[in-house]
Amino acid sequence: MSESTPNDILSWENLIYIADFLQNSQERMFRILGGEPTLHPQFNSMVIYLLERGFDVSVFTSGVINDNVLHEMGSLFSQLPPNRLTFICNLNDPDKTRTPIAEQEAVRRFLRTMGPRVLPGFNIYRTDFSLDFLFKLINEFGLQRHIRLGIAHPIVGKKNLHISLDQMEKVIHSLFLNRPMFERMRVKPGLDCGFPMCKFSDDQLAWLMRYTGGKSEFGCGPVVDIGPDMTVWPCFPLSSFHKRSLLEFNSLREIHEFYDHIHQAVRVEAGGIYPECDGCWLREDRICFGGCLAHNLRHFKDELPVRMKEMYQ
Amino acid sequence: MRPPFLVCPLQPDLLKQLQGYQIILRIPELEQVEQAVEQVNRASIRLECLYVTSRLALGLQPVSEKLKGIPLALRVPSMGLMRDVAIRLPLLRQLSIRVFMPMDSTENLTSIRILASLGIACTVLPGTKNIKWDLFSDLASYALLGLTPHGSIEPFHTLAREYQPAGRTELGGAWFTHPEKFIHVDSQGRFAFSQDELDREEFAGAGLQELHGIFETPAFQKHQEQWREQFLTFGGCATCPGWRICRGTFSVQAAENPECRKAFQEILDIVELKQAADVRGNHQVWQL
Repeated sequence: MSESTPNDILSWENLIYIADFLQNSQERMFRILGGEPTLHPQFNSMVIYLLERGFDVSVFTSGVINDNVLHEMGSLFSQLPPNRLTFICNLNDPDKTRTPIAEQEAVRRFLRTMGPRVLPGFNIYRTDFSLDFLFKLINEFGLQRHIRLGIAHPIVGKKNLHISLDQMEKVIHSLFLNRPMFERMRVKPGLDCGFPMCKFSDDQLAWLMRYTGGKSEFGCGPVVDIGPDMTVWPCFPLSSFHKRSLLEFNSLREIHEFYDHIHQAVRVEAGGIYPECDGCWLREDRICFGGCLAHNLRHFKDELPVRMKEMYQ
Repeated sequence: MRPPFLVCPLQPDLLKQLQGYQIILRIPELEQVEQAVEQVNRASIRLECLYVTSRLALGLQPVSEKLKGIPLALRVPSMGLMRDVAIRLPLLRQLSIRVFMPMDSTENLTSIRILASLGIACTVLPGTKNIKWDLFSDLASYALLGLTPHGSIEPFHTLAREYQPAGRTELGGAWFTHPEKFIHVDSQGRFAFSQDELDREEFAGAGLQELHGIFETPAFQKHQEQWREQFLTFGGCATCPGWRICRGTFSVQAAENPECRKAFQEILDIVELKQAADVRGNHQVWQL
């Protein structure tokens, strides 16, 4: 253990508080995100600690991990049941995203060491993509046969590379070009939040429902992120929207209720990401949530502040 | 006044003379536990607990099934690596053990919180170096107002249980330094009111035969009235709001760093809050 903790990384004291908070809220899953969480000097110790506290741990990583840390991870966690510790590794297509060879090698070392615990993820930030490289990695390293597919959404208050509203259909089209490979390789697609249901055809929806056992959702709601300084925010795209301190809340449920209220307030002003979301019965019945809330908020950015106060914090 | 506990070393000849006393046996390492228990049984004395003052970190301790059922106070310099502690945790949780750790490093104050949150009872020892008082009071807050059940952390739990605004609270009892409760004996039967005094050869008695009537001796009386010195010299402790729970226990450290005033004031607030919460919790409306 180190003697001091810089302010921008999670301290043991705060980790214990968060663990207590989640335990108190009957939450048994502890998700660790970054930056790159494995860069924390106490990463392995903290994971051991959380496992000892009885949490199932899920780590979001780029897979570029220091050799010593990776070696220690291999020896520490190899005997652990896969469901107790999972790595969600967002992988880039080396043909489409320029990645240094050293980084590619580092990712391969990580996948070789942790393969069966790794759930591959793919962040969709352009319309012309293929998942072939992921199918290959799944086979080569025995990764979990499930791909977490996330759309790059706009980050409120920042400029970032993201999928615009008029690109949604093309994204879904590109995704379904991979359908034969999903079937042949017996890999299941997992849609992350913010996919608008109306942009899928009935045939595509039927395939998704059948192939994922009805587990596909078209949601958008607060997942609740907690920062090293104990600030909370609803999710990554809304990371600067209505930030609060964890210390203001008594349970995870309270935080969810707080952000649910804000989500609903925004959706009163703009039901979804498209104008037609306002009268959509699928959205009213909460079968589809009308896409990512970060898009909704962008509708208001060029107008005078005439809407409810919740829109502007 | 109830008879004091005797804190003494593992010395067969000494043990033979201690029948009828409540004994806390001091041994250097866990490996000696079996030998200690055997000698205690042979001498037919009543063992309250074994006080193991180890030089090894907790993560390097040779814990084993044989330790089950034996009350252990294990003093370690630090926690060691989390991975080593984790291997020992399932067994540690089954032992009747309390881990003592000096609070003179930031690391140890954090380690105590980690261990307590994992269900291990801990005690904070004063230590010798500079103390991070803000972390100390923060630990008190965790110990008494933490969100979830955890291992008790002394001396805070004793404070919360025994503190009375108009009474005396002896913090040192948590680490066997309380003249009314603990007498420290050396291998030759000489005794003092703390291990430090024993080490400095400031004896309160030269042999076990003098133990009878110890509470009437001038040495004991001097100890009992020692707190008055703070007011006679008008040291920093005399004007400290936290005096009621500290009673000058950290007067040496306070002379170097008066930050302890703020810490003990906070701890006093926490203790009072805890006591108020416990009272509210104990009397439900249908019980009034």
